[in-house]
This record gives sequence, C-alpha cells and structure tokens, in this order.
Amino acid sequence: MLKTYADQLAGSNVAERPRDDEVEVSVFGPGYGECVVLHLTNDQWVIIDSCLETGSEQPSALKYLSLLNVDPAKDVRLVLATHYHDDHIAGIGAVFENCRAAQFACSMALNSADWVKLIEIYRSYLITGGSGVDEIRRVMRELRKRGEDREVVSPMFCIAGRIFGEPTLTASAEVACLSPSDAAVAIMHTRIREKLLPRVQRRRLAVPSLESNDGSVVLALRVGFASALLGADLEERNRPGLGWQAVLDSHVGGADGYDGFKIPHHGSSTAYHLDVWNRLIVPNGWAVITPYNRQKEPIPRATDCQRIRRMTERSFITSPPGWSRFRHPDSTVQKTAEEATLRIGVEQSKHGHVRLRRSVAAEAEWRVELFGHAQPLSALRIAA
Amino acid sequence: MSAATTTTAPIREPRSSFSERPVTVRSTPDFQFLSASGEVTVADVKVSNITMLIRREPLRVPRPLTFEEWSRLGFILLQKWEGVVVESDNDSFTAKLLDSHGKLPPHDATFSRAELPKSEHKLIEPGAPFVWTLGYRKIGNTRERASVVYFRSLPPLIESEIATAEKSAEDLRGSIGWK
Repeated sequence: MLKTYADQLAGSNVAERPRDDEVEVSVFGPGYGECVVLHLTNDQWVIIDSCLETGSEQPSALKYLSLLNVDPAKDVRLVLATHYHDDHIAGIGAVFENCRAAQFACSMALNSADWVKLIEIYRSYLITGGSGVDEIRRVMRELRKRGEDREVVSPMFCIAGRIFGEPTLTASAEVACLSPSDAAVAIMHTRIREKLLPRVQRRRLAVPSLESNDGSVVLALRVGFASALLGADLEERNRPGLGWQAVLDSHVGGADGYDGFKIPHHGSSTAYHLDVWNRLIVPNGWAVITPYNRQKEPIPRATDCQRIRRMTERSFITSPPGWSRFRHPDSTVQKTAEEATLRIGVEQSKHGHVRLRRSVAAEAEWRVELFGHAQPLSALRIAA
Repeated sequence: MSAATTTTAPIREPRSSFSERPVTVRSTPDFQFLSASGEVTVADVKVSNITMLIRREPLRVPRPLTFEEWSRLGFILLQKWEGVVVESDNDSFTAKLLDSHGKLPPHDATFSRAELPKSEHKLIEPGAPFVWTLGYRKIGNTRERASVVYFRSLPPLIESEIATAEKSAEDLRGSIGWK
C-alpha cells in the first residue's frame, strides 16, 4: 500500500522554519505539476507557479506555509506564474487569493488583449475540467476585487531584464527575469492570436497548449552570497533570440555562476543547453527536477537522468516519473480499462518535496532535505 | 424533453415568433443529441422597465448520456470518464480523464487509435473532448464487457458568443490594467 504524502511527512522536520538569515528554495512535484517556494530571508516569501498536493488537493505552497506557521496573507510578497500551462498553475487562483499582500506577476507574453479575450471565450465552453486559463481568470478577478479598495492592482509583467527588488522585496534580495526575450513575446502574441483564439464556426475544443514554451519566465535569485537559477519550462529552440540561447546571449551576470538550478521542462532533452551548465551554474551545483507524467512517455527519461547526472552529482527529483498502476474498486472496470488502453494511471500519484536551505553568509553551504517521494537522481531507476 | 424557456409578461411580440424550438436530434452512434436539456431559445431582457422576450440563436448543448439513458440502451454502466486529448500521434492518443461522478482522482490514459473507427480519427486532436464508458452490454439474455469511446460533437462557436466574450474581456482588462 502506497503511503500518503501526509503519512510520509509525519515525524519529519518539514515544519521547521528557516532562520531569518537563511535562504530557502523548496520545489514541489506530485507527478503532474510543479511549484517553487522561496524564502528570501526575514520572513519574506515568494511563490512561483502552483501544483496540488496529492491527497488533500490543496495548493502545495499554502499547505507548506501552513505547516511552517507562516501567514500567507502577510508574508508572501510575490506570486508569479511562469507560464499558463496546467501543470504550473493548478491552484494558483487560490494561492493568490490567500496571499493578500502579494503582487501578482506573469509573463509579458500574456500581456495582450487577445489573451484576455481568449480567457473569456474559453470560460463559456462546455467542457468538463478546468485549465490553466481558468486559473489565470481567477487571478484576474481577484485583482479586480482588490482594485475596489486599492489604487494599484495591475499585474507585473516579466520580461528579460526586469528585476524584482524594492519595494516588492527588501534591498538585500533580488529576483531577476532572464526571459522571455522581446522576440519570444512577439512570437507568443502572434501564436495566441493565430493558434489559440477560437474562430466562429470552428470546432469547440478545450484550450490547447502551444507546442513550445517560449514565453516561460526564467528567474535568477540572489540574496547575499546565495544564488539559484530557476529554469521554469524554457526550452532550447535553436533559433536566434529564442530559448536558452537568448538567455545566454543577453546574460550579464557576474563571473560567479549560480549555486543551483531548477532544471527546466522536467529535465527533457529539448530544454538542455550545454553552455547553460558551463557558463551559468557553478561546477557540481545542485539541481532539482520535477517529473511530468501526462504524456505517452513521461519525463525525465532514463537518458535525461544520465545526462543530468553527468552535469552534477548533486541532482534530485521530487518524485519518480511514470504512472502508478491503475486500481479500480470494481474488478470488471479494472480489467476492461486495462485491456482497452495502452496505459492508464493516476496522474498525481507520488508527491515529493526537495528543500534547499543555506545562510546568506559567504562560507555557507546548501543543506538538502528530501520529503515524500523525493530522492537523489542517483537512486532513481528508470527502464531505458 | 422540453427546452428551457422563460415566459414573462408583457410580451411585446406575437408568441408565434418564438415557436421554433430546437429539434431533438437522435444521432447514433454518438448519442449526444438524445436529450437536449439546456437548449436556449429565448431570454428575458429588461428594456426601460419593460420585460420582453427576445429571440436568440438556438444553442443546443449536447452532453454525455446519464446512467438511466445508458440503461435504456441496454448498457449497464459501471464507470464513465470525461476525457480531453492531451497529445496524439499516428498510432495513439493520450488523454486526461475525469471521473463523471467525481469519486476518483484525475487519471491519464493512452489509447490506441484502433479503439475508434477510422472515420472518427480526424476528431482526435489536442483539446478534443470525449467520453469513455465501461460496463456491460446486454445482448438478449447474455451480456459482454464493453468499453466505448465517443468524441463529443459540441456546437461550434457562434458570432454572439465571441462578441459577448470580447465585451467581457474589455471590461476585465480595463478594471485591472491588463494591456
């Protein structure tokens, strides 16, 4: 019998708060979805993307902050959606509603009249099941509600070069956007208009995902001597001005690389660029991956894990990729479903959490803690 | 099955102008139009404090069959999923599945295209909604296990829906400073 995530946390030190001088990067991944929670010293928290905790179906970030006895209404400064895909923003509407003092930020790629029109059109659709579009709309409604008693409610739009510092964060902390590039924003606006916006008399579909994640927001975090690169879902496109090559071309950070890397796009080969590791990440820096199970071949694949392990010995995954075995209370359904499909399983099966903490002092080291089904990549066994 | 209508007074136009009810369509093997609940033909609108009926484009809202409807068709329903295609290739498609009764967590499944007749393969594309039912099909005094996948034929978008969405989007953008 699979232990639940809550069972696995029982008796662990997960509820231990970071010290005031500590930076924390917590990565959550239940098999479908991803969320990063940052502590940027002195009780200032940032939530990047959102996923739901297996079992409770509550946003992982809110559940975690509640375990730490952190008040999201007061202490969360920024809620940021790196892109609109379902696996990155499930529950972000509820997250933002609870983080009353937080600013909302999202990709500049979504700053278009066509995007808002698309949200309103899909709202009227008759298809069961929510989507990332519904979550963004919930955030927009919350922004409007806040506008009734505040002057400024506009979201903050992320583009390469934008820096979140004061007044959103204190002077000692800095979160910089390394993407999307101007070219990516322009391309995304065109794609939203031409590929996503439904037309009259066309077939009614659930909102599809665009094939590439050009509008995804990559973030660079620096607090004191601690740093990290958060890769979102940005892929390498082998086209000028797009993908990781655009990040490398425009990066003007100091000579020191980042201490660690939230690996982009679930460790897939499409998001790999050797120079990112060579130029932006310190040798043998930490790396964290979340899996993505909602496709024929879940990622990361065995070859992806091998490649990442060649880059660093300190790599971790929030939960193993792959679907769990289908179980149904009715044996007839169990048998018929297995016969009728090539594969079937629960999309969120194994929830895990990788937590990294260190002091902002010069000589401090990152401390890695693994909760739930999180494990070192070296311990992972995936059939090739 | 009657259409959902609203009758209010005073009515400013002859009632006969509203008599065009959508026709209930029986379309096998998809069954989606077996029942037409949710059809909207008229709506009440207040103009200068006078409530009047105005005619709208008929909007037929097909939906998956209920348990009782499946039973009438000789099918003992054991599990019904509502699915949306996530990705597809030449041989198969992968979908997100939601339990119609909300008792099971979301599942994912990969189906062979062979589960559908070739004429329906063109319906398999990312975002396409479908229904998957599992149960027993009754044949005389015997029954056999059955798995039925059918793609929903939702009505295409109409001009007025787009116009309403555009107006709503403009209001929303203006109120929060979205471009």
